[in-house]
Amino acid sequence: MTVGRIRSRTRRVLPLPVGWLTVVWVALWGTLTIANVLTGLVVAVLLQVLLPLPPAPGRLVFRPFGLVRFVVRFALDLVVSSLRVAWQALWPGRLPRSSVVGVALATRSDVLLTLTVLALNVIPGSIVVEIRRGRPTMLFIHALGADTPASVEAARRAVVRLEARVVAAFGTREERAVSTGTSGGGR
Amino acid sequence: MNPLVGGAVIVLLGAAAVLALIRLVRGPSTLDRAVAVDMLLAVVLAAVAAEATLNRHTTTVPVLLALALVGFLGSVSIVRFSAREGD
Amino acid sequence: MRAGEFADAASAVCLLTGCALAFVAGVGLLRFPDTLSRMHTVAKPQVLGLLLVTLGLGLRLRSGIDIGMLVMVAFFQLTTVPVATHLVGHAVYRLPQLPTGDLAIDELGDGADPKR
Repeated sequence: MTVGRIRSRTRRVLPLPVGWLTVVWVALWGTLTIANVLTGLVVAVLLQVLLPLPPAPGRLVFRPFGLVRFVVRFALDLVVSSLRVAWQALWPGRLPRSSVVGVALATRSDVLLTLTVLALNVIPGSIVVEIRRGRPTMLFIHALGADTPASVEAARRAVVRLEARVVAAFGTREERAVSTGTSGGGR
Repeated sequence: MNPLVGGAVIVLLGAAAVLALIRLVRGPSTLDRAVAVDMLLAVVLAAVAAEATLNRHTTTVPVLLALALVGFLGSVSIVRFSAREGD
Repeated sequence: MRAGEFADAASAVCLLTGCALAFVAGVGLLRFPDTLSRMHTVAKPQVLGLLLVTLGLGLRLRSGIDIGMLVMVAFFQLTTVPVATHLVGHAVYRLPQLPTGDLAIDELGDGADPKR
């Protein structure tokens, strides 16, 4: 994971992105023909050469069990939070007040942070308004309808649990070790 | 498909679009309008998909894909603008 | 034929639920008192509503390549909407006169923000 090794890799054509870019290309054309696959391969390689992405620090590992658990909980959370917002929108009285809550994250990986923030925007009653990098990285979320210290604590715990699920689904072995070690320590 | 379903879809999506338009006119801040525009675009996406469902054709599926891909760019660019004004 | 009828019925249910969620999101957009609360309606019921409408379309079309495209539509929705939500939320919090309504507890503002 040295800087030099990553930098030398930026202009190289990686097989995995070429693969899925080709799949997207064929799906867009709608028919699986040899001509479509060939033009897709050419476009994918050209994209990689002409528009290289900055190297992503950190790696993404797919762990089947954690991934299934993450996806199922994500779908459930999406339904629950939608119904809750719907209920709050249709309830005839005044809305409960909201809060902005800070949460310390255990992970340091950029990729895991991105995934956590993406998923956070759909779990019950939260929108990420600020990310403060550091040790630890702080996330600030807007929690809809959290107006008591107890509900603020509940929102904070929900974020910590979501982060643990993301790490369990996508983290490398070291990151998972860090996650389990610090969540026990009450960080 | 049952014409009642089509009628209900038109009423629901039409009402959603009108509500988003009211928020778009009222504001009060630019960002409120950005949120309302996002909402309006989502209603249009839903309407295109609903029409394809009711009449059972695939002509507009690529339109859905394109809208879903670039839909968020509108509010992102609004945010870029207002952030520069503020700084 | 029976399976087809069943899929059509399920498709109609998905379509109606999705449209109802879009309507509820519109109500929330109009009723909620401040910008950040309004964003919750676009981020949640609206996304679920679009996913349901897309699912309904997939159940109705029932052909491989179209379902592939619809899966991509759903995937792009799920990845792009949170990005826009986060950016708008961040910008709202940085506005000169904070239009966040009355926050019960504001941990970000208490600690570091000199504007409050």
